[in-house]
Amino acid sequence: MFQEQIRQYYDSLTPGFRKLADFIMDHTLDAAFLTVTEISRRVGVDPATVVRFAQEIGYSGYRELSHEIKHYVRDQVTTTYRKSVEAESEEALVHQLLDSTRQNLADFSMTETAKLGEALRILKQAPRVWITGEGPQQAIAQFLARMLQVADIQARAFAPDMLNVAAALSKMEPGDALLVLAISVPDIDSGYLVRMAREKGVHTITIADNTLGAPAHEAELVVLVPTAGETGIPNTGAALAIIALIWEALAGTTAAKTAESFAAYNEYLSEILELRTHTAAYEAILPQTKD
Amino acid sequence: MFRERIEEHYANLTPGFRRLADFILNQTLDVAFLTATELSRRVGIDPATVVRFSQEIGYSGFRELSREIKAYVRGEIAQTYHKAVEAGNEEDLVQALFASKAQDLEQFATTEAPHLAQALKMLQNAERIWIVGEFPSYDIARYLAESLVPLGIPVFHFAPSMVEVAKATNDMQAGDVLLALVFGTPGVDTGHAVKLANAKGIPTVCIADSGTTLAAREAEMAITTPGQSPLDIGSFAISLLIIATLKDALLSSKKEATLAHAAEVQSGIEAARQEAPGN
Repeated sequence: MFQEQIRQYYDSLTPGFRKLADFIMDHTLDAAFLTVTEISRRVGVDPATVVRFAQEIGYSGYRELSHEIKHYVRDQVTTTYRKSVEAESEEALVHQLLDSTRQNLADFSMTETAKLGEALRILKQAPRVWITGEGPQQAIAQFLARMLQVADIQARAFAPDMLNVAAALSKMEPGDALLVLAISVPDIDSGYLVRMAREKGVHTITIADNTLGAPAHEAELVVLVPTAGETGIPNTGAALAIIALIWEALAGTTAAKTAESFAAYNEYLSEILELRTHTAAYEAILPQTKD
Repeated sequence: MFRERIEEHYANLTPGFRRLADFILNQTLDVAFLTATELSRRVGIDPATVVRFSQEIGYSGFRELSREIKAYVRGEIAQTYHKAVEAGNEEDLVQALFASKAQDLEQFATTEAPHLAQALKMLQNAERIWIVGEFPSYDIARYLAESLVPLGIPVFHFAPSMVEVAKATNDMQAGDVLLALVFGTPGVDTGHAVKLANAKGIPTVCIADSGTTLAAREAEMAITTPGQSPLDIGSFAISLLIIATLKDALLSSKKEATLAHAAEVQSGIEAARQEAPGN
């Protein structure tokens, strides 16, 4: 291969030949498509020098060297092409997304740890935690509230529509905390909610991926989670992990209580299972099927 | 403990073994997540040397040594975590949590990513998707179902109560896929739902934080997420991260539709604002 040939002869080459060698090694793609005259002009040597250079490093002439360079470049291009096709496989996509998430988590832990710590401090001291989220994140708000209750923390989730906002606001007390999840969703209602809650003396925290939205704009504290990615749509892996970390950090401070709650649940679960297997009523209420 | 054993044998070690010993002592955190081959490559020695080194310092092989290193690292993280909790220092707590999650994610990416890719393929080809989850996993099922609206295929979610399972199983048809989520609970009823769907010939995928839960055992494709926090409570961080990743993967394979959907929602909001300026 031409690279080996060049390396082998490089030390004994004249300065003119070296310039050529450098050009071919560093701009192989360009070199593949240049004629003798064009390459000589680019490097600033005589066309005859190009031919002699090729012979010097073991080829019959520039034609043979050029042929090899073209071949090499074609192989390279094919490999790259194959790679980009592979990047469209499901596994490549999964790894691409996980890589972005990893990067987002690293970025977050570099810049936002203090903010998240402050959010935890506020949430921990609040007598009650109110949680809401727009669109599908309402379900995440519900999840978080449910799990905080398991950890013996007073938490309630509500939908950010007018009626529910009014109902929640009427029950909020100064010192309570309001947590708004606003990650990559258009916000309509939660902006007003944050402002009104704040006016009522409620601590307001927004978790968002930008500071432009109303709930972020109005909140006392914004925890900014990165949703950068390469797929063209927001990468929400880090954001959801961070929301789950809020639970883990809060429940961790009441770990004994949390474990107790889970133990109690599991006890009831076993009892229900027991009842199911021994309840004749189950058979009685089911319609009898005949073989 | 591996530290004592290394120190005890250190003086008699060959140069290659010493390089390995130094690496293990200085980069314990990294070593906990490397296989024998990866470790040998990092240190620049033969994989067989890694095994012989483990035996030299008194282990049956690298497996045993590695297990001890993993336990040590887990303990270290737990200690940092406990200290942070005791000191009431939220920032340290967050840092410790991030460190432990980064490791969990690393582990997931090496062992479970291929399964996730296969699950993704099954869901991409589904004509309709059913998502089942109980207690906190129900909320996650709902989140996922509502987030997948842009896919343009029906996505249903349900809790595995007797009646719901009976109805859902009855409505399932060829081309459908059932996705079961089991996080933080034993998920007995979810397991039954998977079993019934299987019996009907419906392909089933389970994402659970326990590989031995009924749903995971019954499902055609099971993905296990790390679900333990350093402080002996459950952890949902990586589980939710994986749900988000699955969602993002499905949406990005229908990127045009996803972007169009987002634009529609936006213009819908604007239209609503003009209709009712008082809002």
